Amino acid sequence: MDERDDTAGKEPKKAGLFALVRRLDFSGEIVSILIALIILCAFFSLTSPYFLTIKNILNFTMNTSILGIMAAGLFIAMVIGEIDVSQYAILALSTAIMVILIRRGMGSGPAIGISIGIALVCGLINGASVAFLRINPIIATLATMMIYRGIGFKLTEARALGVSGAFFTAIGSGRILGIPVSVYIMLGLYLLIHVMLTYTAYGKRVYAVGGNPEASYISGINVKMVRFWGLVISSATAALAGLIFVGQVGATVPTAGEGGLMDVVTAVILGGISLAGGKGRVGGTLIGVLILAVLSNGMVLLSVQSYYQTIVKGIVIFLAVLVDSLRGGGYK
Amino acid sequence: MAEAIEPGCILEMKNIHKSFGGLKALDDVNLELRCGEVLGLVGDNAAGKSTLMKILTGFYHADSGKILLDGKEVHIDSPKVSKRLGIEMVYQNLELCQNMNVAENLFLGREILREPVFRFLKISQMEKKTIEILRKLKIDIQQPRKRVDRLSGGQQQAVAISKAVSFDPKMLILDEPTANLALKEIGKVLDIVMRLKEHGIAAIFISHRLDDVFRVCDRIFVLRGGCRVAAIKTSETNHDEIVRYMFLGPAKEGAQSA
Repeated sequence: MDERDDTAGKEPKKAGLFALVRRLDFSGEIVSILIALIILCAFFSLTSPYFLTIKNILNFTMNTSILGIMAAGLFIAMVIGEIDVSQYAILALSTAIMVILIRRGMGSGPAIGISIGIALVCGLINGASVAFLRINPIIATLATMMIYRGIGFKLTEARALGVSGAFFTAIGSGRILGIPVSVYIMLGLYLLIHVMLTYTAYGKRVYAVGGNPEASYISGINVKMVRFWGLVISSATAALAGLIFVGQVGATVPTAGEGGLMDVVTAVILGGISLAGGKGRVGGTLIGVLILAVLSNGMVLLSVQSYYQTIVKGIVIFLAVLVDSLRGGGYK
Repeated sequence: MAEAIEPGCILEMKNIHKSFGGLKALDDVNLELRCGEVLGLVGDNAAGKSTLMKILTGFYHADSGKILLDGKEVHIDSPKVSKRLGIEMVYQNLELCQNMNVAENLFLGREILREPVFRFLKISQMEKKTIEILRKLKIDIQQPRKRVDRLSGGQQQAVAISKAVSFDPKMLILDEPTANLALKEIGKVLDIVMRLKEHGIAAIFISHRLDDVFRVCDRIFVLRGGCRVAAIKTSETNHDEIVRYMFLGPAKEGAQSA
């Protein structure tokens, strides 16, 4: 009854499933990317007999967790209206220092702590550049990416350095109930971020600053600090992804992720975020990550030449950004 | 003139001067806002309306002059101080987050928390209070979870005004609240402005639409070229006179005062 006189019949009450979907605030976006994921899966399972095998699914979900963990952090930064392209470089640098320390005899516990600390320092620099020095986030993180990457190369002398240990074995190849540990970590992170964004004051402020920084400022929100923490969080997830990377590969690799500079960004954009900020759900990002993973995996299974794979990924980014732009969220 | 008992002033701005470089934006302006009244602030573009209000909200500092709030001199150094003193402004371009719902907007920056560490929110309590606040001003939005970009322009303006009112301000500055609204929505917003009096909130109503000014304001204050040219009771003037003051009136004092 109450709802009726509210908007004068602009949005008539719908019953059942529609009401439920609206209540969950899927607002169509998550549903549409979910459909895209299902279509993609259907296509590859029809064209490749290996796609739907448990082995393959476990294989690519394991590879996905590194991308997925970083995408979860980047999601927060992108809702605020920022971007971070330095995550893989932070991953490479923080793991390089960790592995070097372990190889020189440091215990893995302290070394892991230091590696997370290094990643946080990188995040502080990114955050300060964007929030306080007001440098455009793409340019700022592109520049810091080169710096972090360069330091990583120098420290490792451009070599992959192997490391082993119970912790890395567990995090890299351990399984619980047949599912990789890294997948649990990734899902846990998504749940944590979802709870934070939905039920805490910081979460609300992330959306507020992304939606309307002026209004947020006038409402007494410390806009700079929200922006600052956004980039710190995105680099913290790079540190976490780094631990899993070292676990899975058994080494730190200074070139890690160099070919996939835009992979994380692509996954987040595919997840239905607006480049202008203020919109998107972290669950969508998870689907975006899966779409990207299924696409890469499927093309490998179909033995698509790697040049074509790059072209397809480029087209996917283009289309995702185009959809955002048509919705009015694009570059202004 | 022997008037009926005049209510006291909540706000007095005395001899305000402000220049930007060589340009005099405000020249010896005196403004009084009486308790519980709605004062219309009119003037041509560049008459100094927004400069005057920005001094009041702490975005600019006057070169000279005094501001008295409840009879006590105050120094408004920043927007934060202005808010703390009980001065709220509703901006013309709707300072709401379009991507968030009504309750989230009303409590933005001062959320009700469950605990201070992780700062979890008391969402249902905020939504309940939102309904109370909206009801206080008789605003017909029943769903605190409705996203602001799905409300009409008038409803958004109503939410913006309720947000300001919910801070329990002493006075409210409304910057062109009826601009960009459909005709039937203008009436609703004006009703809300008139209801402010019931809650003892004095308001300064900035508008280019003289019809609206005459409908809700007790007095009209006219600025022209940075000078006060008139402050007249609405009941003692008419459109033509106000227009004359706005565009042709005496640029210097000798201004009529009510």
